[in-house]
Amino acid sequence: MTESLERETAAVAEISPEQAYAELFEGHFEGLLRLAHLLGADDPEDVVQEAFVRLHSRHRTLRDPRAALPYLRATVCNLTRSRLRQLRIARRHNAGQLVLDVPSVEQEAVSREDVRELLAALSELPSRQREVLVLRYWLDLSQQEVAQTIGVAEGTVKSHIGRGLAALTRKLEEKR
Amino acid sequence: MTHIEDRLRATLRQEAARVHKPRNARAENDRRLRARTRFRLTPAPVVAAASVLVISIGLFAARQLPERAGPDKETAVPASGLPANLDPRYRPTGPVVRVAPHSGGYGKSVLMWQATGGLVCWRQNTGGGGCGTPRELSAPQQVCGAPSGSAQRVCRSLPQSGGRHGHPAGVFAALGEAHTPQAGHNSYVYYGAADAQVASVSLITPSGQWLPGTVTGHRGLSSRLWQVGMPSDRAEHMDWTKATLVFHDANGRELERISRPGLGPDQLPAPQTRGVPLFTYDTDSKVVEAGGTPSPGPSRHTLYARVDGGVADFISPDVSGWSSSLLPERLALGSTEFDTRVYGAPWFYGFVRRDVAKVVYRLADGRLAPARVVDVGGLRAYSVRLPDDRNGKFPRHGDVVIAYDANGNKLGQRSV
Repeated sequence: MTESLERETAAVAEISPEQAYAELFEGHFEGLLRLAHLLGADDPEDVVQEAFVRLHSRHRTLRDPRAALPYLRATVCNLTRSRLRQLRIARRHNAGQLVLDVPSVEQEAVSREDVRELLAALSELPSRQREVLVLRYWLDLSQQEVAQTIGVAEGTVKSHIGRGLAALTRKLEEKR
Repeated sequence: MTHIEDRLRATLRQEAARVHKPRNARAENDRRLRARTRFRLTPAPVVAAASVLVISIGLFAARQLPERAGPDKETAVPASGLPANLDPRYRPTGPVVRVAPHSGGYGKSVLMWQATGGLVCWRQNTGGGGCGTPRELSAPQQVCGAPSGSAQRVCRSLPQSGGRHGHPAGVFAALGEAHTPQAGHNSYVYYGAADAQVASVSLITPSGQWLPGTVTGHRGLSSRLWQVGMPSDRAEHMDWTKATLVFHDANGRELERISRPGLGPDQLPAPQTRGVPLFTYDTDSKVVEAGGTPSPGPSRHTLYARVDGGVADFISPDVSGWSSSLLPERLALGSTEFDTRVYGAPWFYGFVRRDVAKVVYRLADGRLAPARVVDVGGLRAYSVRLPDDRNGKFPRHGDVVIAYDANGNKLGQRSV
């Protein structure tokens, strides 16, 4: 992942900020969309669009290509977390009416029961734990990269991973 | 590597693979960047005033339509007076002529022309119009319309009478003018084609009054084009089956009477532009029950959003009976349903103002359905596919449509 990023960033080092932005958009929009979806965003596209708009307004970030993608990932995580927090508050005011998670309505039923179970268990984890697990096990980021992305200490990431995996195991066993 | 880690990787990979980049992602991003730039360049007091205006007008208020916003792709008018993106079905086969109402009569100043397939078309100054086919005597005729501005057109068959000299093409009802939508009064106008002998046309009302019309000829036209109108008060209380059209030649000799024009005041001005595709949906033969052209069986169709000057609508060109025409007053409501649940896919769609960047459909249970939003003329159209898990209860009390601007600010919301 890191080598790939370095190759990418070396390639874009010589191009204009606008070109770099366009390439980032083409190359990473879908991946970031998937990240937002896995983090539980109710409108992943809006989250990712907003992340890119914010990136665009930070031309300095674009001039340092190595920072652009981590910035986008961090923004996606932050925006999703913020949005989920707002939803939780809204649910408190509409107790009994709202479901715990906000699944995409375009989402088709997951065919395999065990996959559905694991996703449901993942959605019940605290936001930070979910972010850490998704970044670590879907994006294959190192613990250090995860720490940089979400702005916490590496030790905290390690702790979240351990607790998150334990919680997932426990929830899955409870359902059997 | 533990079992749970393996399983988590596989699950995330499988789930992520189901998410794909929307086709319009880059266009949407460009639009947001432009909107953000505009926002930055706008002086603060203007922004504040605009915000107040947005709220006071309401979320979906769109009474003022594109003419005042200046020409754009949907409303640009070439020298002929027709929109640049005119629906190819209405392309003129000859000159486009202006037919003004008779000085002693009623009607509207409209553009008229002949199109392929024998169509006679008219177009009002504020955009939108209609096309009809002059028919022979006693040929069956199908009339589609929504006289009260209802969302869905209803089609019915009427006994048709035509003539050897004057051939009615249709009746259009214009609901006020786009710049005075509150007036909202109807004026009804018969229009059609006639042969070269015809020099004048009149309408005899059921009370016996003669109302003069206009006949226009042109070297490039294979027929003469005519219109004859009546004031709204007469039109609204008139028994249309008792009206009579009378055609005379240049010497004042009566050529023909069409005692029952057989056309009701059904044809409201509709967009004549190509439109923007919103979504595809499947139908089965049940579409016949909606009053449209019988569909032979399961088929796939596309719904288009069209904006043409002062009128807008949604239409599936190949499925008659599924179009809905929206006049400015209707646009103020901002939205219309298009519930295709009987065909397996419930959709909701509507129009919003140009400054709406995002539309979200919030279900009563809290789930959110982001809508796809596209530019159409001076407006934007949204469409959202809703979940199939409601057992046909759709839309449901408590559902809300919410609109946001490019900065994520909520512009307003509307209960469905």
